[in-house]
Amino acid sequence: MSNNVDSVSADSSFYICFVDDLEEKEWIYKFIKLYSFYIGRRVLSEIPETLFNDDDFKNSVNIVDYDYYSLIKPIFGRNPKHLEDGEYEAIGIAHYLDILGELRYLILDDRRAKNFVKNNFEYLADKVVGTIGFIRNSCLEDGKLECEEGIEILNKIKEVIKSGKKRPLNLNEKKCKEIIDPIIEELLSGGNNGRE
Amino acid sequence: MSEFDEAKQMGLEYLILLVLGCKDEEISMLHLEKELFLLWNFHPGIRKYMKFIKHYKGPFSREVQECVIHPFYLENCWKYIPPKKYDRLSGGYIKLTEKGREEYKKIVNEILKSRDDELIHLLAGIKIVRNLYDKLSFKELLLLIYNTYPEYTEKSSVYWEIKKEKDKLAKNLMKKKVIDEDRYKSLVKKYS
Repeated sequence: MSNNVDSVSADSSFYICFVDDLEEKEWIYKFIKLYSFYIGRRVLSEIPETLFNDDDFKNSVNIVDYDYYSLIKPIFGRNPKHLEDGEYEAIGIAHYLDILGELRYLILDDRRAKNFVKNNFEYLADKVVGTIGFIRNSCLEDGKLECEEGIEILNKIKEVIKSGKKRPLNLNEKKCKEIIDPIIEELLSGGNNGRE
Repeated sequence: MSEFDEAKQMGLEYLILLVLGCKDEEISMLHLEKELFLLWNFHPGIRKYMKFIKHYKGPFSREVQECVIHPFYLENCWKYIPPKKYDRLSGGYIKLTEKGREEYKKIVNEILKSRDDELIHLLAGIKIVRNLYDKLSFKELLLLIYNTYPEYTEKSSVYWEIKKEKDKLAKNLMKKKVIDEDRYKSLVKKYS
């Protein structure tokens, strides 16, 4: 696996959004080619089966075998509903990448997990993005994804939400207007981000 | 000491150094011990260095205590300050010395240079526990530990006192934004 500052630790919501909600597994492959993704066992167990059983996927990401949740367990207790909380594992892996100086993004969509980072690990706060923010930054900050591709993904999210069949990233139409529309505008004016 | 015991002693002393050096602040023996207990649960590579038993103040490791008070390989790298007369909880305090700070920098640089995955995960774990638990009072820390690992309330001499104060302690934890409302409720209701 590559060693660079383009490493990403993401919670399962990121993978679920593309595979289950948008039914666009290929976009996951696109992202794991652009960035070096790290994934722990808990998150791995939460992602859709089609991805979990896919050897190509498993061979393209870095699988981490440490139980970071055990360090945080006293904060959340023994409540079984937290046993599968992959976001805290993603936060642990982000620490590992940060120590290596390779952390680019910690992708968290859950507000509680984001607040947890803000309140306890301030030094990671500027690396935290949601899935939508990650798509934006991938186009505008990193110049890795074409703006057109970013717009395509965001429009697909809007479309699925509008259809009422699914709620990717727990968003509704109101939230779409607030969050996604301004980013689409930004991407529309972002062109190719200076690339030829 | 056998060769195995020597290696264990040295490993534990370096582990203690890594925990101490992670922050520029002194740490109580109680915090150090409980944080090492969580790391012991987390990282299989360090389990051979110590054992944890049920004791007066939750999980306790004789090996940790002995290494902190009488280090052999890392002599003068930290200073142990015994607890004051009426201090029943802290177990004393440990402060890194200048020599310890230098040794810490050296060892961390070596770890980073070697890119030893196991050790980098250990550094990550240490950073997490120090940032999460250092800011808790002794009783807040014990409340969370007893509630999460109830088997360690056995033999505890402070458990009943903490149980009596659980509402106030849980409220403080929420004020500090360490726990959320769900956890607050679970501490107040289920703690027994």
